Amino acid sequence: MVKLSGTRDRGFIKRAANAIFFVALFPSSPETDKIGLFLFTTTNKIREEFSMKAFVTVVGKDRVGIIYGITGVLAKSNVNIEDISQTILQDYFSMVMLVNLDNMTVSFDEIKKQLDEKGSEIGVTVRMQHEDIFTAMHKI
Amino acid sequence: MLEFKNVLETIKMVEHEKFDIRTVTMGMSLLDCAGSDVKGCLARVYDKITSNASHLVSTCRSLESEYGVPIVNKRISITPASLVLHSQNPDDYVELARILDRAAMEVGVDFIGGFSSLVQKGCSRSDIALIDSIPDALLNTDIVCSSVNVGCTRSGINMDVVKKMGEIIKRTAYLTRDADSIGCAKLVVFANAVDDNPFMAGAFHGVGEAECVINVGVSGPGVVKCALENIKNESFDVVAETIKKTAFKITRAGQLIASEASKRLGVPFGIVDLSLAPTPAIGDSVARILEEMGIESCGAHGTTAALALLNDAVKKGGIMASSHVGGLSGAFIPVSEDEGMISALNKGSINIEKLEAMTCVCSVGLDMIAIPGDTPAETISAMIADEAAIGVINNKTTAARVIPVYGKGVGDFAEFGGLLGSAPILKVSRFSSAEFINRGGRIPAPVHSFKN
Repeated sequence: MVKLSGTRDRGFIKRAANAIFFVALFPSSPETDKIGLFLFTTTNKIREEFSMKAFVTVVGKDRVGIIYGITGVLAKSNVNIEDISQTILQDYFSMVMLVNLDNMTVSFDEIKKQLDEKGSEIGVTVRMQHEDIFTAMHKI
Repeated sequence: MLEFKNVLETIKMVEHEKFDIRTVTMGMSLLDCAGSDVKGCLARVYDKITSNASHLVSTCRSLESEYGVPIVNKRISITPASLVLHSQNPDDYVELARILDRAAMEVGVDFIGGFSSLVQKGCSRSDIALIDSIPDALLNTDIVCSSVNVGCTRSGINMDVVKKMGEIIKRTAYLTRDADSIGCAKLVVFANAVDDNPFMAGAFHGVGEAECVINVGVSGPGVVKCALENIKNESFDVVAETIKKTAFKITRAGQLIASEASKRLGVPFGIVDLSLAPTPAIGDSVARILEEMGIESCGAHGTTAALALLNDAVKKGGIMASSHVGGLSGAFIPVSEDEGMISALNKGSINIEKLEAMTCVCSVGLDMIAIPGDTPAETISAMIADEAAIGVINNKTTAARVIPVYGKGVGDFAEFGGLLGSAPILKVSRFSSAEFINRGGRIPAPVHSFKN
């Protein structure tokens, strides 16, 4: 298959997949229906596969405004939140968010810095890590 | 999505349980730099190392940031040096060591290993010159590590070189006496050395390995200990299973980092070495794992059995987690680098005899052991011979990294600093092995090595 290195290639593959995906949504005859369906499922898999996702974790003493503060930073840089799980145990707030970095408008290091600063402001610890480290450890 | 608790578990491993990637080691072949023209060879060596490893440190830094797992060391290992520079003059090898030191510092790595000779059956002229140069080479460099392989199961033990190494270790200790004989902490004598070990001081890039590879050494004694804290009083079946599962997760992280590093550097992935390697920091000790299993103080009876279980369970868990497991892969017991070991030594619960027994069931040998500075060279050679015999007969890797601290005796402390830690001086037998060592020659390969 194609040999990839870094986000540039991933971006290209994703854009190609997106293009084919949307073309595939317009079937016109029974024959092209089948091709359309095939393209649709394959490119959907590719789009998923090459999305860059990370886990943002927030831990600290509970107070008003934590979710608002952190999600604000993400929204400003066009990071989409795909899944959120949050719980409070004896005054301790912990939250895990799965975020999509595909359309992020700043660099990985820059957004980490912003989250860090916001975290200190609110009084919580914020971490952002590529999703692979978690899936590698916990999925067979 | 991945379970909430799994994500927090990973975070906890790094933040509280001292999980880290201990090393990313770039192994590179210097065979194409080989020659007997000293100036040309050294220039070729310098150029190759600095160009191959130019992005190693920066790539590791990005990986650390993206994945949130610390990568404590970046290292380089090279083809055994006696195969790279062909000379009969030890001074030429000291020059080579200086160049390796400079090249490694230029690219910013922490250590460079491979100032080595593989002499399990006999020495070439280059080997003799290299071995003679070791004390001066280690005195005149900071981050060069050296190793000598004196025996293997197929060849037996080269007792001529064993005798020599006792003298070399003493001389290295003398030359570096101003720093508690730290030179000896960078010198390992092996039996059944492996070609792809990413850890120091014994790393070298074996002949038969690819042109350039990325090998990763993971670690996480703290993680294993914390996992065991949750299963107090459970049976050994549960203990083994818990260690296995923990080793799996640790190794998976190593595998991920290794494959990403390899992709970004454009260098093939070699192996993951899933060794539990301790550090002097609290909470990062292998000895404490054994104590968590129920041994009051490391070295008490039962320690060898506990270590055997640990070593085995770690391997089983790790093998499933990585496509290529290699290196030493098991549990390390370096005395000065393990907070629990130092504590056990101070309490008097462990001695050199017990350590020797433990080397039969773990993945290294007598490691980072400080002994009295007046220990005779023949006694040191005999200690090496004992370890080599354990390795050769049992078909496993063993090694001796002993430090006869010049000017110090039992009751004193040697301070090496950093990851090398500090150690109380251990008592050795006061009876002589001189006549035994002075015989020389080769101990033949054991009968069970004839498998053809």
